[in-house]
Amino acid sequence: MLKRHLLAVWSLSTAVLVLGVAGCGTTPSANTTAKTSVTSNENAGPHVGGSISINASPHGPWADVFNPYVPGENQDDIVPDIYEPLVQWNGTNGTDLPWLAKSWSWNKSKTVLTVHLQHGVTWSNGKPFTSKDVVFTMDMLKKYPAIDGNALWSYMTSIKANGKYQVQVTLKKPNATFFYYFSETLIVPKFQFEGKNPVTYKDSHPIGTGPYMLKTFNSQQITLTRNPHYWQKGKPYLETVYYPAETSNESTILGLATGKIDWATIFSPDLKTSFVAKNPADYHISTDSSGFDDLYLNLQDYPLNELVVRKAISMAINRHLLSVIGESGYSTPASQNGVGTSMAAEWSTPSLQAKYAAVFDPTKAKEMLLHAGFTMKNGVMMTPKGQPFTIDMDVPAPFSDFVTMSSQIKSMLGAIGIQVNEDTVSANEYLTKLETGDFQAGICWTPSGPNPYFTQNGLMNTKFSGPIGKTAVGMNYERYSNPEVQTLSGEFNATENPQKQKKIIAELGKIMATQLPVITLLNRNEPIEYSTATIAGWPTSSNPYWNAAADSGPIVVLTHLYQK
Amino acid sequence: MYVLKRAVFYLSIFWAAITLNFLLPRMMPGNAATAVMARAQGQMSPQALKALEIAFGVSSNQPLWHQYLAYLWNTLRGHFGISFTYFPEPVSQVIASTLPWTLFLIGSATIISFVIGTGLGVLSAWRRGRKVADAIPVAFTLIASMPYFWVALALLYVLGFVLGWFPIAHSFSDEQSPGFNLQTIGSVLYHAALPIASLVVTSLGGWMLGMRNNLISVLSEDYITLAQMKGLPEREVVTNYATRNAMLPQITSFAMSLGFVVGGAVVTEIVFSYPGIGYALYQAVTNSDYPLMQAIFLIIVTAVLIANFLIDILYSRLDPRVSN
Repeated sequence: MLKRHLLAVWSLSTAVLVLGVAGCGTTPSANTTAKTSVTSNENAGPHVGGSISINASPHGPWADVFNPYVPGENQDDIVPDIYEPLVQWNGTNGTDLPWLAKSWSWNKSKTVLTVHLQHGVTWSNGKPFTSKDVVFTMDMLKKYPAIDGNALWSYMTSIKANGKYQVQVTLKKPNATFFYYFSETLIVPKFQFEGKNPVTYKDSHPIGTGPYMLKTFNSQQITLTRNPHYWQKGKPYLETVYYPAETSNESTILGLATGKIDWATIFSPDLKTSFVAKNPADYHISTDSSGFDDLYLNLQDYPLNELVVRKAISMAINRHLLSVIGESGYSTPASQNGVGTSMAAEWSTPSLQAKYAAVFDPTKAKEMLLHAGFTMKNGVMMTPKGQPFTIDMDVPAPFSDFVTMSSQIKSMLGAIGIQVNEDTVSANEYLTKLETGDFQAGICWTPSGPNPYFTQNGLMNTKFSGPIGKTAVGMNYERYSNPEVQTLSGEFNATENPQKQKKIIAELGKIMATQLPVITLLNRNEPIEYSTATIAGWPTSSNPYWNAAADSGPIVVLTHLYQK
Repeated sequence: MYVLKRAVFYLSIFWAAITLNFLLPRMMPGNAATAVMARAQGQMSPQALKALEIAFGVSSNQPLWHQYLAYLWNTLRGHFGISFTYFPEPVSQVIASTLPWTLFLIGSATIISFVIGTGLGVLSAWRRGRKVADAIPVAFTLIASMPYFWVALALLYVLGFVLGWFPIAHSFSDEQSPGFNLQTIGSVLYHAALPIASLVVTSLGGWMLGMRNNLISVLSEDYITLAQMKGLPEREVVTNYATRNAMLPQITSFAMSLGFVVGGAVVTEIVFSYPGIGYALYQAVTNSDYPLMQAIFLIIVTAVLIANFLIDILYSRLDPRVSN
C-alpha cells in the first residue's frame, strides 16, 4: 500500500482546488457524468451481471505479468482475484476463512500439519485442482528461494500429498507464524508452471482457481471476467472487473467522485470534501488496520538506550495531534502494548488497554529527565555527560504523513528541550538506514499479522535483528535484545491454546509498554473508499463480514458484491 | 573533415555520458529490493527482502569494473536487461510501450508551442507599441511563471472534472481495445487535448519572448533600415529579411528541445495518468531500477547528442564560417 502518500504535493494542491471551488458556492456537476444507476431496486438480491471498477493503489501503466511470485503492482492488486490461497485472512481483526483448504489440523507436538482441500475445485480451464498443485507450488518455492518471500522453507522440512485432497507438511520445529504465511500463499497450477523458471516467467495468460479470469489486457486497463467454472457455485455475481491504471491519488479521487471508480484504497487528507460530499448517500469511507506507526529509536545510541529517556520521549508526544494533523484522523492513538484497537476485543482486555494507553504529560517528561541527571541550560536539555541532547531523525520525503508527524514530534520534543534535526531522504535511503541500523530515530510501520504476536515478536525478537551495518533480517530495526522475549516466543510457538496465547501476548505487551523498545504512536489505519451507487453487498457495521480493503486480497468482499 | 571532427567529439561525449549513467545510479543509497519493501509499506513480510535480493541479483558482489565492462558490452548490443519495476518485463519492452506515447504527446506539444509562440513573437515585435501586441508578452510571461503542475491540475480539475468536457486520464478510451482506425485516432486526440494544452500554454511564453527579442534586435539592424528606405513593403521586410535572420537561434533551441522530447514530461504524465516514458523514468528512479533508468537516460543522451550534431551540420551549411 505505498499508495497512500506518494505525490503528496499534488494531493495538497487538489485539496486547495476542491476547497476553493467549494468556497465559491459552486456545486461541481460531478454526478452528471456518474454511471447511470439502474432503477434502484435493492431487493433484487444477488444475481449475475454488472461490473465494478477498482483502483487499489496508484501506479503506472500495467505490465502483462500475472505470475504471483514476481514483485509488481499487478501481483498485489489483481493476481489475488485469479489465484487463490488455502485460507483467507481478515487483515483487520485476524479472523480466518477456510478457502481452498476446507480444514486443517496439527499433531500434538505441532510439527505436522494436515490440510484437507475443498473437493470439486477446478482451474479456469476446467482441469481439476488437487493436492498435487499445492505440493508443486511449495516445492517450487523450495527450488527457487528468490520467490519464497515468506521464507516458508526456513520452517518446513517436507510436504507431501496424501491422496487427491490431503496435504501433509512437516516442520523443523513448532512455529506460530508459519501457518499464516503458508496458508496465504497463492496456489498455481502444476500444468502451467511446470518446467518454467518462476522467477522470470510472466504468466501472461493466467489460469487460476479464482472467481475471475483475465479477459483483456492493455497497459492502461486490465479487464477481468467471471470464471464460469468457479467452485463457489453461483459466485461471483459481478460479470466484469475493471482495473484502470491511475498514476496518482488525485486522479483516483477524481475517478471516485465522478463515479468512474467504485472501490479504492487511497489516502487523501480530505476525503469527506473531495469524495463523500459529492454523493453522501452512496459514497462511503471505511478503514483497514494493519499494525502501527511507531517511532524507532536506535537502542545502540546514548542516551536513547536509557529507558527513562524513551519514557520521557513517549510522554512528550501528543498522539492525538499526530492522528489529527498527520493522518487526518484515520489512524488513531495506540496503546503501548502492541495490541491494536481492532485486535483488542479478542487478544486483550479493556482494563489492560486502558492501563497501557499512552500518557501525554510534557511537564512530567521533563521532570523525569531532570531527575535522571539531565540538566537544562538556556532552554536546551543537556545529558548527564554534559552534551546537548539532540536526535537526528530520518524523514522519508514521499510519505507525506510521516513528514508531517516528524515535524510535529520535532516541536513536541523541542518543548522539553530536546533538539530534533530532521534529515529528509528518499524512501529507499530511509528504509536502508533503518535496516542497517544507520539511524537515530525514524517513524516507520510495523510487522502485522492475524494476531498481535506478529507485531510484538516481529519488533522485539533478536531473530529479526542484525548487527549494526548489516541488514536486519526483520523489523527489529532498533536492535532490541531481551532473553525474556525469546522465551515467550518459544512458548507461543509451542501452544495452540488461545487462552495461553492470550496470556503470552499480555506478557509481551507488558514488555513493550514498560521497556519501550519502540515508541508506539498510532494504529495504522488505511482509508477505503467505496460507492453503493450501482453495487450492493458491501460489509456494513451491522454485517461486518470482512474488511473492505480493495488491496491485499479483496476477493472475499468481491465475491459478495452484486449489481443493484 | 569538419563533420568527422564533430563526430569524434560527440562520440567522446557519448562515452562520458554512458559512463556517468553507469556510475550515478550506483551511488544512490538503497537498492531495488529495499525499494520494493518501501513501496509495500509493511504489506509484505519483512523476510521478503532476502528473496527479492536474490531475484534481482542485487546482492551479487562482482567488482565494479567487471559490472562496467558488462554494462558497456550490453549497451552496445542494445541489451538493457530486465526492469525491476515491471519485473520480469525486459526494459526494451517497457520502453517500446511507453516511448511512442511520449513522442506523440510531447512532440506535438513542442511543435505546436514553437509554431504559435514564434508567430506571436513576430507579431508582438512587429506591432510593438500597440496595446494588443504589448499585452501578449505580459500575459504569457504571467502564465509561464505559474508552476506547471498547478496549471495542469487547474485544467484537469476545471475542464476535465467540473465541466466534464475532456477525459481526466489515460491516452485513449478504456472501453476500446487499441486498433488503427478512425475511432481510436479520435479517442487518442481527444485524450491528448488537455495534456497538450497544458504544455503549450506554459511553454508558449518562452518561444514568444525569445522570438520577440531576436526580432527586435534584428529590426534595428542597418540592412533593415536600408530595406525600409528602398520602399519595400513592411510585410516583406519583416518576413523575408528580419524574421529569417531572427529565426536562427529559435531553430537551435527548437532542435535541442526536440532532443529532450524523449525524456518525457514527468509531471504531465502523472497528472493526466498518461502512459509515457516520463512516468516510467519517475518510477525507475524511485524504485532504484538501474536497468530501466540507464536505458531511458541513454535514449535521452543519444537523442540530445544527435539533435546537436544535426544542428552543427546544419549550421556549417547555413554559415560556412563555422567550419573554420
